Amino acid sequence: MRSRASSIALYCAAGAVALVVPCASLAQVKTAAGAPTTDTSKATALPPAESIAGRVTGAAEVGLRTFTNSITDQQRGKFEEYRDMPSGLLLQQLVLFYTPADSFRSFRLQASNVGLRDQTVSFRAKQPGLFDFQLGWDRVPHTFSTDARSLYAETDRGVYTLPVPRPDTATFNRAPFIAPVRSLWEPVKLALGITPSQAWDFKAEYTHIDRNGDRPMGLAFGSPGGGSSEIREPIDQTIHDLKVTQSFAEERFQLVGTYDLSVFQNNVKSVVADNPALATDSPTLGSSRGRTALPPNNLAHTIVVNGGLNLPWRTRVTGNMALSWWRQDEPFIPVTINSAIVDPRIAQEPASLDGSVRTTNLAASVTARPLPPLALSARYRSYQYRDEAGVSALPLLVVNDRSVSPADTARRDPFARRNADVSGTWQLVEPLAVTVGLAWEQMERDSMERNVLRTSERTPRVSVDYTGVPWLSLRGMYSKGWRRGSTYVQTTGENPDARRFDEADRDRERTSLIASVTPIDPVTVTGTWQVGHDLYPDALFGVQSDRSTAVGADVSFAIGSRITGGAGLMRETFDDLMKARYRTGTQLNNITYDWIGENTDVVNTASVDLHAILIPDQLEAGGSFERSRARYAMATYNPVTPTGGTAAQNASATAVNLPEVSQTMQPVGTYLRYHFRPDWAFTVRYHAERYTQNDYKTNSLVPATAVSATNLQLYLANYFQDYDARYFVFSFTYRPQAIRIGRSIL
Amino acid sequence: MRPSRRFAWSFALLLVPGLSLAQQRAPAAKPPAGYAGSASCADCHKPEVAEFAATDKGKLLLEHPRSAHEKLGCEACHGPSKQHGESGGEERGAMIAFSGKHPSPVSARNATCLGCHQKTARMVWQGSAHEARNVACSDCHTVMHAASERGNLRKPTVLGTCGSCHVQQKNQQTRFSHMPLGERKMECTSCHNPHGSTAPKLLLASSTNETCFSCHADKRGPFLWQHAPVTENCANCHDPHGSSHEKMLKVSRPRLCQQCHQGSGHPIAPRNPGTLADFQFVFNRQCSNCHFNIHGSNHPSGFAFTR
Repeated sequence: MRSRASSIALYCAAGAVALVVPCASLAQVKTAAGAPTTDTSKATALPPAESIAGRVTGAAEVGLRTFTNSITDQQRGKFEEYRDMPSGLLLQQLVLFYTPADSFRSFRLQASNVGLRDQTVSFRAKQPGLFDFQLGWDRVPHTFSTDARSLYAETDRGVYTLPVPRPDTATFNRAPFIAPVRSLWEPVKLALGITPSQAWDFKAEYTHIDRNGDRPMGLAFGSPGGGSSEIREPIDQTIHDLKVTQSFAEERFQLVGTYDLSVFQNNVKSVVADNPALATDSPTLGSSRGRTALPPNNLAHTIVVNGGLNLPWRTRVTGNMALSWWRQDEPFIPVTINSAIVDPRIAQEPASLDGSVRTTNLAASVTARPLPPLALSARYRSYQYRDEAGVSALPLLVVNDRSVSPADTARRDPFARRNADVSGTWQLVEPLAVTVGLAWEQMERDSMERNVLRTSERTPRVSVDYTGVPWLSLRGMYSKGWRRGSTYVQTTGENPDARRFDEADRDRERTSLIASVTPIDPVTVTGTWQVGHDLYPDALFGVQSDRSTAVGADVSFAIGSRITGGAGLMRETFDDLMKARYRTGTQLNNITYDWIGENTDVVNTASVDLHAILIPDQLEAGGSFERSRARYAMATYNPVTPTGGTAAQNASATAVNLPEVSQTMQPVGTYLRYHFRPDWAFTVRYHAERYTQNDYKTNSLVPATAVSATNLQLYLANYFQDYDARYFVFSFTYRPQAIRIGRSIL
Repeated sequence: MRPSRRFAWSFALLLVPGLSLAQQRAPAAKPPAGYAGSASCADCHKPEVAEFAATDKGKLLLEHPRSAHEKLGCEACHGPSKQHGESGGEERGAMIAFSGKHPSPVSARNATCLGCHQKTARMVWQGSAHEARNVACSDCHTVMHAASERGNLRKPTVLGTCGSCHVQQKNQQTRFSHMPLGERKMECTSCHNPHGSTAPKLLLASSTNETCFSCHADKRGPFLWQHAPVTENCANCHDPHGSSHEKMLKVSRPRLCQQCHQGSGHPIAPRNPGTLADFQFVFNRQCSNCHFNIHGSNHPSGFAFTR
């Protein structure tokens, strides 16, 4: 915290310095611009807005949140997933605003949810067209669970121990609740944009993200037949990102150059956890502890140059080059923590990866409108990912700190992706445009881990856009693509007839229709219909097809000047069909071991909101309702009854449905606001949020399950519990009418 | 030259022109014929002009113009309106109308905006997905009044603005597993540049993964043991707009993993949740109970991502 406070103080100081520089350097620009002309003097005669120039003013909202029902700590996981919702006094919003009397610079300090885990503080000083300075400090909580149970004690950061002798299953299952498993991201962003002239823009941004906390992770202790433990991954990470952008733009050409340095630092390099089934190291049975590596420090340099050139016949040419270089050379942690495994090859392990990746993005485009109704466009992009790691050979591996495995090679996965697209748009009549296009994508992989060296996909498309009248816009699009690859080389051990969905031959179809209609002036109806269908014609096993559909409508309306509202309804479905064959022992090609997996997701979302001015300038009220219900099912079945193997094999090959999972989120909110003085208001809000879920994967979990004598599964046994939160927020708001801060605030 | 020194020089070169040009003066020029002046506009459009005058853009054009073009005030965007005024509003002449019953063609409206804004984020607007579909700048933006805190958006938030057309993506934010857009910790523009991009899906960075790494730099690696589909595209497994499945996965585990891993042994058994032997494959984190380092491992023994 101390270092964070000093960092923020440093940013503030830097910000103050940064403010002085543009103000001084731009002083002459202001003088020049301020020189009156005939037109400008006319402009100053325009009706002025209520002036707040030359004085500090502000706005604030202070409130009290009180719950009308009890919500336990264990139920707060989902309720507070990305927010902090305590009861008690709240400083919800604070805005301080100043604009000098002799200019239109503005200085604004803004804070929300002050003192909470989701607090936001920002400062902005700007003069539109000249400079823009921003300093922001955000806090983004992410709660994973508040009902985790564990007997592990964290004796040092990332070191989890269990008692010796190890507790039995019953004792594990009496484990107490532990602290919430959650992380907190704290991005601090400093940005300065200067526009010395209309042609030049300069922007420097520095972002510092602190990430602290924990999240659940698993750690295996042996395979086959070994157990695993769910523990908490310690998060103590920092990301620095510095970006400098310089752009020059004239009527004919524009040029932008950007340099970006991104540095990732992880202050915890590994996690160590005791094996719940073993208290002493053994060369055959496994290790008393497991140790794993956490994400290593890394950095990336990126240089981007963009250019655009306007040519006759309304032709424009653009080019882009982005070069990126990623480095990672974190020292490896030892190959095993198992002291009973002694092998001379351990000493031969490399010290670090000497990892280096270079990516290159080259893109160019040409657009032209040679005739008023005709627009032509052609684009090309080449993206290359080259992995130049210095180390790939490992003299030996120790699987899960338990069994020695022979030398292996860590293979790299370089690839190149090339895209091209040509299209022509013809304005049939002024509001109606038809576009015909062809997209092409080629993927080249140079990796023994991948199956297809080259795939090419061609996707013709046609779209129709009608945008000519204010009361109707209609956008329709249809595309059909074919991806075909070179010879599919199957990975050793995999089903020879299986195809991976990201490399396999694919027929893809997409249809979408968006219609926006305004039948009478204050009412707008937007309808959307989208269908996607992927088919894998060459895959005997693996994903066979998937289909997605989304149908919905949104309505927004106004009744007179006092009532506004909206409503929305959407239904989304996603179906995924997969075919597989259980392969084991001598039963590698038993056709009765085939099984089908059908995944079906259905999500229905409905929303309504209404706002009414009951007494102008005095009393307003409103409310919103939203309901999102999702369910998914994984139906699984054998086309024929499995036979031919042992009873155990046949049982393993027998497919049964996985239980349906469902989630429902239903937030409802209402408010009544009374403006007892022109700038003051008292607001009463009432919220009722309900979340229910039914997930077989976590609902009945206990901290420990003994799968076999040597396989003990330890879990945090946590999940997002159902909650029903009902609460009032009473708040006083002070907001001078003259402050233009948008409706999203206060 | 060492790489770090090269970058330092690049940085310095980027800075110099900005500083040297800081004191350039804006050119002054008389408005061309056919222009009426902003005060004339206010004769008929008084409320609109008053509201516009209170915005940043209004202050810039009406009170603090930097160039001859900006000194045209309302007509800097709407074009010469003398004929319009003299006809009592009956004739539009060469004016550009951004709304109303008969708005100007989209290409004409957009050309007006790009006259000043065709730089930085809008460099590749022409030929972009939105431009090709006849989307007008004024479909998403308005400069006539302050409806949003930033970006002169038509709606108070970025999500609301984008969600006007991208209804499905807007609704995905309400799903069980989502990024904090509804909580206003992120925006659509945290990942996308709606004005055009050389990357797929109008992404900000050069690729899907490089966009994700801007926040999830821990996944960047490179790792000793890479998971090839992860290296190529995070979206092979994740739907970043929101999902009903944990971790914004497209399909729940173990089926997600089984779509590709059809080898002999434990990966490809259908798994019976009623059987104890299948317990660790079906419950809790499923495959990730053991293979937790699935984005890549830097452990010498992490070939199966269990370390």
